[in-house]
Amino acid sequence: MHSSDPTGSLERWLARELGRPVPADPGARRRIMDRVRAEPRPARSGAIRRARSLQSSPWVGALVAAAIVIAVVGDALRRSGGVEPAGRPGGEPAATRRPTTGDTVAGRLEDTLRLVRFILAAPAAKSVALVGDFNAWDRRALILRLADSAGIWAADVRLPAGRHRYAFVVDDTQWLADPVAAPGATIGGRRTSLVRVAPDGE
Amino acid sequence: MTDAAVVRRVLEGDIEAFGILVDRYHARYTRYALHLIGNREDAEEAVQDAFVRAFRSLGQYEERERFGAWLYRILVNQCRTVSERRRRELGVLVDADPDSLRIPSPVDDDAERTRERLHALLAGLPPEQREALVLRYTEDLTFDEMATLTGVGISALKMRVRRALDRLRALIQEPPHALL
Repeated sequence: MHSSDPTGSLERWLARELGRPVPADPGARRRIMDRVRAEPRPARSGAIRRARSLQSSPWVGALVAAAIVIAVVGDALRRSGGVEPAGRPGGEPAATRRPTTGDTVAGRLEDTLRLVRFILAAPAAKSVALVGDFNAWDRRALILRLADSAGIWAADVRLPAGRHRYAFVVDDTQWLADPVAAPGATIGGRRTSLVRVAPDGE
Repeated sequence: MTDAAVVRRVLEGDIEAFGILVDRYHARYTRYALHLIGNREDAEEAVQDAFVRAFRSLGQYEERERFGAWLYRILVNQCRTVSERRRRELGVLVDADPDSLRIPSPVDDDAERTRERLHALLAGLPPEQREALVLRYTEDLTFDEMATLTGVGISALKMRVRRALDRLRALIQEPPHALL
């Protein structure tokens, strides 16, 4: 085709640009296999066991002033759902314990998921939702509860080992990354934060 | 080992064998997802989710169908889901952090600008036309191969590609030869 032929020019340009190799992400395979290993094994009959679903409970609160997120990791999880913080045997269950900066609690679950607590200080917020790649960034899926009168919001989430991006949505309208957490890859141009859940045994 | 044989191994309990399928299809489908969605992070998320969904549904995979075509359909649905979610999120939310509103510094890389422009043009296409166009030129497939992959008739695919090209010409403000 002649270069002055508009059809040929556009098609050649598309073929060149769309056909360019895309740099490989060396960590992509590992991330996929990490998620696959955490899945229930597929069955030929099609009776695939459902993955455990995350529990979410809606609570209501007040307006945002600042954000602090603390990933909480600990040692053991009792079947009742209570969580004991690392190094603090006999401590009160995580669900009722007053969260503190730098504190981490994680539970060891039978199914290799680990419990991670997300905390946000937002005394003026009316509602705070947690969004991430673990709940399809759905701000309706996981609402934080108001953990105390000082305006601390918290949610306990079971996550598989690996890196997870997340952010908060405050009052259903404001997107907020965690300024003190490691940054995650942006989504739709918006900043996210990163939490790393260590594999079982680490 | 064929894809079907790998699937059988996974279903028999060799989960790690699923990595063979990831190795075979990841790069190609990442490129495809990138051009469909226009954003590297979201494309990788869509591809990752597609593989996980494929793994979950492996028991329902019928060996008479090519695994690549089966995975491709899962991927297209994931790309649509990711794109729609992004549109929904960005359309409603405002940023609480003013820093996030800063425009990134200009990139001097011509290739980067070209890629951004390409994705902006593709975003102006209806989903079916964009998918057909990207498949045609990313993978350099014949319409026969595209029909096998997508399950869509050859005539319909040709029509979608033709309309996509017509629409792109309308979107492009400069003469087409200026793209070269």
